[in-house]
Amino acid sequence: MNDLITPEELRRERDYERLRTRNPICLTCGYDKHPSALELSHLVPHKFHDEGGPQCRNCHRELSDAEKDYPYAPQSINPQMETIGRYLLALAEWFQRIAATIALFGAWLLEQSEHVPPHEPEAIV
Amino acid sequence: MSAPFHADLYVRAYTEKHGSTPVGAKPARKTLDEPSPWTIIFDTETTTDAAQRLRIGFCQVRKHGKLMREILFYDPGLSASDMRVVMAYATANELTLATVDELRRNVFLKIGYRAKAAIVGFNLPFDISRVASGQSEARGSMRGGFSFELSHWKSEPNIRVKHLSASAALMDFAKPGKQQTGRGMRNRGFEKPHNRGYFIDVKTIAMALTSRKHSLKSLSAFLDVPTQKLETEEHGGPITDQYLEYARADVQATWECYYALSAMYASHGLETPLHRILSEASIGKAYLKQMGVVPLLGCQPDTPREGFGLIMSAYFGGRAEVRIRREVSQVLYCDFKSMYPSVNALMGLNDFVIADGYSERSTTEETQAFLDVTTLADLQCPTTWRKLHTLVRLCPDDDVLPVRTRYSEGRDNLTIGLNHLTSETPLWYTLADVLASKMLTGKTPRILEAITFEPGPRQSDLKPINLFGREAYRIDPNTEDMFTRLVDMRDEAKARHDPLQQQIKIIANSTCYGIFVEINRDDAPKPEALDLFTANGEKSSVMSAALEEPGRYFHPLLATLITGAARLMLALSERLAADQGMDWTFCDTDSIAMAKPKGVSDDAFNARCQAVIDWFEPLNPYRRPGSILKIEDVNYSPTSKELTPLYCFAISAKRYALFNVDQDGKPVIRKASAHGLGAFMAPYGADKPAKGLPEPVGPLSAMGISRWQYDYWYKLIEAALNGTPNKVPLDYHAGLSNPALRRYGATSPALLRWMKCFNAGKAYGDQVKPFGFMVAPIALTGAMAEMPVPEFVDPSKKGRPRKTVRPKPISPFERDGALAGAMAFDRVSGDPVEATALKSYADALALFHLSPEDKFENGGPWDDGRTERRRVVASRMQLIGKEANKVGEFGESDPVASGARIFKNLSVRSSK
Repeated sequence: MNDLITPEELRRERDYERLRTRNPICLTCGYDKHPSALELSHLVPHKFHDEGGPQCRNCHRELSDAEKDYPYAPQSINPQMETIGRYLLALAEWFQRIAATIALFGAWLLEQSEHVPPHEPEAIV
Repeated sequence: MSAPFHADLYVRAYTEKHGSTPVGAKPARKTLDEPSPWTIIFDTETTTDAAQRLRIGFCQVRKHGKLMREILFYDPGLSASDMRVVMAYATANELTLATVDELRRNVFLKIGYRAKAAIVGFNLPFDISRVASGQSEARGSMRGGFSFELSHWKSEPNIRVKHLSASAALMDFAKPGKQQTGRGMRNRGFEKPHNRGYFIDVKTIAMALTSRKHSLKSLSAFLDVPTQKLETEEHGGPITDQYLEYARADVQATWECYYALSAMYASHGLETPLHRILSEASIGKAYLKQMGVVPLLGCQPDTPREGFGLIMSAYFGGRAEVRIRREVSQVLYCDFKSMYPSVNALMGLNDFVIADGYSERSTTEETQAFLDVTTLADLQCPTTWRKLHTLVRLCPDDDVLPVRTRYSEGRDNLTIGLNHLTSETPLWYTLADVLASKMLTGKTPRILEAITFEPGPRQSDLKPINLFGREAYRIDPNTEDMFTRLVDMRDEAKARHDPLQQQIKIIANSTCYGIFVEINRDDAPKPEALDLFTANGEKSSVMSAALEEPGRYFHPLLATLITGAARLMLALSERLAADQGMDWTFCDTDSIAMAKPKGVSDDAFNARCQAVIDWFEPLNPYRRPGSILKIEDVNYSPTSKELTPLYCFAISAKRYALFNVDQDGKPVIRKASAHGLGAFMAPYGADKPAKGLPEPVGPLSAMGISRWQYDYWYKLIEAALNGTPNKVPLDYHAGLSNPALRRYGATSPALLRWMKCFNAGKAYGDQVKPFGFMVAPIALTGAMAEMPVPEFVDPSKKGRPRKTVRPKPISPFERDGALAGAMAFDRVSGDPVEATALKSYADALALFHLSPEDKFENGGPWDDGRTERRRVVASRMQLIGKEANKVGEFGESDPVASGARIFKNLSVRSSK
């Protein structure tokens, strides 16, 4: 019965648990080849908030670098307002990166439209 | 005028653990909450003795629904001959053979826990208890439940199971005894979320999705799955191929039922995963969540709890009363269409459900003015009901109001009766209750204070949804009252004979009331400090072991206003019946049986009833026209479909029967209640009914009773029709002379301890285990009890002689009453209890027909005829918590059992 499930499948389950989704894809660049190369990226340092999503290791490192300019936990006299502010700043940073990826995809589609014919759905027999 | 009845009043209070965050205010979980593609389905077969020890079982392991492995597992204690059969069967059918220990390690722990499979079964707690290697009491959030051992290694988790109801239990993997979070993560303040597992009991989801209790057999038939449950007589005998086929088919049927129910649930299109569905209420909550409705405690977490204390003091449940007792009366039995959604709609309470909190303002003068001018005719106008978002404070002066108290000495039940109340202590009631008093007495109560509640602004993120993914079943909470929309949809579905109408009914019922008054009670091992909020708007501290946690959508204002308005509806029907010169026999939450006056013809009676029914037509908030008060089907002949004289024999609240009388003067039962009878195991099977009684005219399930209950009611009514209602024969079946038995499951450690003496000295496999069954006979008491052998008083011993203690008999599970009686022992001392010291069914039922309605005058056991409202004078006010769901001494759940916690005694104080 030991062969029912492979060690690889068990590792994948641990990845999905870690990434909080069974369909992990990097929210910045779209990498989705292997879950073990993805990490759960917190929007803001987790002492502010626990919200996050999957990112590949490279994008996670790039995004985290900018956070090092700011404290890792609330420091001001109004921690609630500070949390919201940090959250929005981080969200803006994410949207900028996602927008860049979308722009690249849009440009690629324009290029493809020059020589790829439209898709014809199969006739129902 | 009757003599005043001085009594303590019991008033609900609100408690909260200091500093706790209610569930409704907690943020949503952020972990992955779905099982992997793996599914484990299993079932066990056991011995038939008290221990119900595991013999064999089958287990399917599936991935994406495809069968990957089928396992036949067994207890190593099987006999050699049984083992040969098992091994040959496994070989012939290419099954994997495994011991139960291998199943625990390689299936439950590896695939169930580490691979996060869904673990599926029918009546899962029982099967988990059979495959476990040991058990102990669960702690923490699952206290009151069991912890089942899967491995002797502390690094492996146990499975915890906590019984909630006959259909549902909480189940999860306990945290294993090793650190789950790596040191690096711990140093950075992270904690790895624990894998609680995914347990799905098909019995639970069947109940939630179909609103019916099912066995595996009935569910397979209902869902019409390819594999139906087989029959066998071989339980406990040598294992044969046929027996193994039967057991194997059980697992296949369980899987097919699970698959069908999953598809049924998926058609709802809800985001809440199936393993979180524990009841119909879970489905209602899932729909509200899907629509983006945030609970009150989520959008207004700082709602003053002092207000909750005030509101809860005005909370009472539905009316259930008998007016004409132990006398046959001809009735027309009527029922309010969707009572709670109807009053919701009339009062516009949907605005509160979708509001961002609520506010309150003092409206004393305008409310008194409203009370002064409001007439019966005004209450026929829907706009009047919109003004009932008000609670009033008054010192009742012989006003007719709900009164919760102990109406009889020596009985520990709190009951609620609509009685004349006088109190020097001010009390809070809904405006609806006070209006009801005015309608019934003609006297306008004087109020001291009134608070009117108003919904806050509409929540901003409400989303329309399509029920079952169908555009035809769209609800938009931004523009529609979801309660009326649901009832309209159900009417439309019913007209089209769409089977979805049953599921729509479930959604409507589950969203309109119960979730707003949900309070989950937990009994702590020792008293804890609680904040107590009372009717006076005070906050104090109290030590109590009864911890009450509000449910996610807890909204006490809605619950209190809804039940108040429902009581007003019943009061109006009572008043209108009286205006037509009619009395009523009984009422029960949303139904009333109007009684035919003597000397009035059937046609005249029906016409008067119709006048009462027609009065409610303007209050219909639905698209389908007609009155919201309906004539029930039992009033019509099952063959000719015409109105046929219907009779009622009512004994006490919720104990009544409705019947026709045939040409020979014999009763033809149409409907009867199992209240007070349902706790007993059947003294005989439906295949051996009492001789000489006619067969029921319709399915017993539609009547709400089993065959032996039908027989008993028949005899009872027959005696009443013969003019001897006090002499109900109980010798019409030999089964009634056997010891009366009540069945219990060892669903909690406290109940399992009843078998402590039986289990002492036995190996775990031979003990009565958690979720095993036992039966409780009843000891004879009073004059029927045997006199104890007198003890010689030893003059050298000081102090009072020991009080004679009544035995508390218990037996291992046995259907045969005589055998169960022979095995009975006292669960305290362990001494055997003689069968002659046990009540027979005849003894236990001897006083059923005399059950008192002691909330009213002339409601004593030997009284009959019309009961009268008591004149209650309040002595002290006692504060109580939730009055429900505490397993009493004999395990039955009694909504008004003395599980209510009495928090404080407040003396009567002057209102000035």
